[in-house]
Amino acid sequence: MTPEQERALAALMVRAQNADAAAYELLLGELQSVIRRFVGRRVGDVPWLEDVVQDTLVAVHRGRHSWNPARPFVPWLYAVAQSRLVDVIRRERRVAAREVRYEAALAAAREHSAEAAILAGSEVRAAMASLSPPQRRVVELLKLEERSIQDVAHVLGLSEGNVRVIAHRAMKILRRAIGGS
Amino acid sequence: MIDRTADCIAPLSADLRPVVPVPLPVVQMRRWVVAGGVALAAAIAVGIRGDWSSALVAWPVIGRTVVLALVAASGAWAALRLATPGEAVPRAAAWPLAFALIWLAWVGTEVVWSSSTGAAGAVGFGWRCIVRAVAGAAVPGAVLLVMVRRAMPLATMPTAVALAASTAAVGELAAEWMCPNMQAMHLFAWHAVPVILVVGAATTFAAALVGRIAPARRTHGRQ
Repeated sequence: MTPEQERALAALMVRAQNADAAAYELLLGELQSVIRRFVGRRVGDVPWLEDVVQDTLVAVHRGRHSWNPARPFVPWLYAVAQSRLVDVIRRERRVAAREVRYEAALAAAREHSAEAAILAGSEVRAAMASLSPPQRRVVELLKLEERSIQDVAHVLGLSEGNVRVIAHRAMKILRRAIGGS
Repeated sequence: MIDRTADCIAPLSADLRPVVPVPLPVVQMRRWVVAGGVALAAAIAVGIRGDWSSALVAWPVIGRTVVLALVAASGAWAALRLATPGEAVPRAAAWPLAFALIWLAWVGTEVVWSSSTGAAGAVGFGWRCIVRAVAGAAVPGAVLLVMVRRAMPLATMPTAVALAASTAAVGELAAEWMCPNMQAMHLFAWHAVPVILVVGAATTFAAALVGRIAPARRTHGRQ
């Protein structure tokens, strides 16, 4: 970044501190690419790069009073961006340790062999056979058709409490049957 | 993705209000020294130890006072710099911690030394020293806390440690000049341990103490 660019950003920030909305919009627009470059140089093209950019823009907004015009603007901006980057990296590590990415889960599911799927399906079918007709119907409506408790109660002409009890008992039987096999 | 980031600019612009920039750390430091110094002097003047004239020439008291003043000043300076993005220097909280360790080593040495000569004294019940420390540190600590929270501390832990070390040192300075009990065990239990506890608590509750920026919403979906 050239000294002229730095001065231009600082001038926009001064105007933003005085609530000049046009200058602020211009500044945030400029900062987007500055932050993106800053973060990209450090971590490359990661899927959460835009998270850092957005986090930094929000932090700039919330902490815009903490920049003193007597000081250079860019080190202040980079310090904010660096801190947001560290926070997002930590968050991503936490997420990676506890969650499975949708794309990864989908890929794993696709890789799952057809044989295993058939086996699992036959297991479930066998377990379903051990249910009484009302229990089977409740499970079908609740779990396969993904209807709500109220909906199922309405369809079967039962109370909601009754549907819950039947579903609970049915799931218990299914769990035992599948777990035991 | 780019569109989403561009989308977040409009609400931020709509939320724009005029702000007063936080003064430079050196200006804030000056204000803290004046406000804290006056409050500390007032607290000490009200409850100064009876033997103050002899304490003025007692080298252990003078030595501890100097080290505590260094902890307080370097802690405040570090906290103010750490709370200002772009100002923070790496390991800014190291100086107050180093001075605090010197002070703790000093008190510890006194305990060991006096124990060997049988003059360590009893721990006793020195709650009044806690009150003295709180009375001395309340205003300087509150002023520093307001200054730090008003800025934008990005590294909450070192900022909180520096702030707590400074405030605890100011409190201990007050206690040093208000408490006539110079027995080593009393100094350790009722002067040093509270300082350690305050810094420990600040470390534990750093984010709550100095405040932190909440992260913005996530943009990419996960399951």
